[in-house]
Amino acid sequence: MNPTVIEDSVSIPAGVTENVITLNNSLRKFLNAAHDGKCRFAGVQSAAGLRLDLTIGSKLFIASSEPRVGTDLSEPYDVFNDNMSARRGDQFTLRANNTTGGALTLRFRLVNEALKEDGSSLSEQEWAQVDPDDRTMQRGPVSIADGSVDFQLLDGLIWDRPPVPCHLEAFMTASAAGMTKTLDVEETNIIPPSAIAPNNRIPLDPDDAVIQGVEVADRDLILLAVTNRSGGALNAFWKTKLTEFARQL
Amino acid sequence: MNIEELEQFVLAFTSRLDKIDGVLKKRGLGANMIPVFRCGASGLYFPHDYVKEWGKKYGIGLGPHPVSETLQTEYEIPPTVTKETQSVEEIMHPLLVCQCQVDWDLVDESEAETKWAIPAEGDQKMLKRVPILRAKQLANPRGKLRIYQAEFARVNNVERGF
Repeated sequence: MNPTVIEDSVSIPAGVTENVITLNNSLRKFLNAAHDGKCRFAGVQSAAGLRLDLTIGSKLFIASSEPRVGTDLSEPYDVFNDNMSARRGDQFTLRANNTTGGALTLRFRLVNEALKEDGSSLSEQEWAQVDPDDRTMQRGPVSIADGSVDFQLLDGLIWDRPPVPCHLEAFMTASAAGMTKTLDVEETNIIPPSAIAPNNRIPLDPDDAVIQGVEVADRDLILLAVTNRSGGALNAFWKTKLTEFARQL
Repeated sequence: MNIEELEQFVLAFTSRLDKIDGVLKKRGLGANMIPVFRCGASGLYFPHDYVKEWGKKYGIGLGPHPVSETLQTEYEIPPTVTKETQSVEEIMHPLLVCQCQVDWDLVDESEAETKWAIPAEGDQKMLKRVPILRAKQLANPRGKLRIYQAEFARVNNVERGF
């Protein structure tokens, strides 16, 4: 069974576009998953200002996330999430919010690879054997004034307290040298103050990974903090990937 | 010429750059000249600290190596009109950060005044740059903006019963 590939370069006008896939009439036929499968999504934007949410069926997999600025889409670096389940008939909803006053280009690729060779549906018992899903958020630039601390980069975002037990993988970069990060889960310090690589971009997976395999219980608070002592304002970029311990049916 | 003689020859010039500056100034050469970084795509100028302040004042999110942060139009991608589009002002070809090479240059101060690029850091919502680029899109024969605007106006007039 061949994978289904939804790929496009599309102009996103200022404001909210409820489903980017419907902007291209020739892609409408792929709006619903043709088979049970695992999906991955990659994207880049032409200039900073887009925020994306990806829902498959009724499950949110990518929340309030900003793509890298670029004109070339390269895998695996620009993949937001490569571990999302889709059941036959589930609708792909790619919501974009353009926060600027002009139109921007979103280049994206959404691939659905069938879990069964013949493309048939899985039984509930078979679904229970499929790898648990990932949920990702990635943001930046977040401006940090000189001599200040941002105690919670995830403040107010949907998965600062994961709804289910999961493993956390975190990625970070800074716009220039001079910032340090710390990671805490509830009251446990996971990463003590340490430098952030000055790569000045949305973190790439796996190049900009800072830690993986952190166990987070459901409703535990993930605290990602940064300190800037560089002598001038800097910007932070971050990404979190939450892998569920067990498949949520 | 051996290497020592060559070294002396070079030092004779480089250690007396003040004299060379004086000669140039007397002839009116170099006066009012300022260093800039020139965008290879648009020809617009960035201040002399563009590379030094990369990732701090300029080029936020554009990677570790300095490139131009000027905006260009992607004419090959048509404008999008959605159900949410309220006015013709919202319709335009998408913009992109050109990310082309920047070159150091010495230019006349009066010339530079007319060609400064608008830094992205002071215009994150693009409110200063979008009107400039929309005007260029309307004037450019490669653009389809006028066609889209006319069609949008026609459809809306029909819907309103004009």
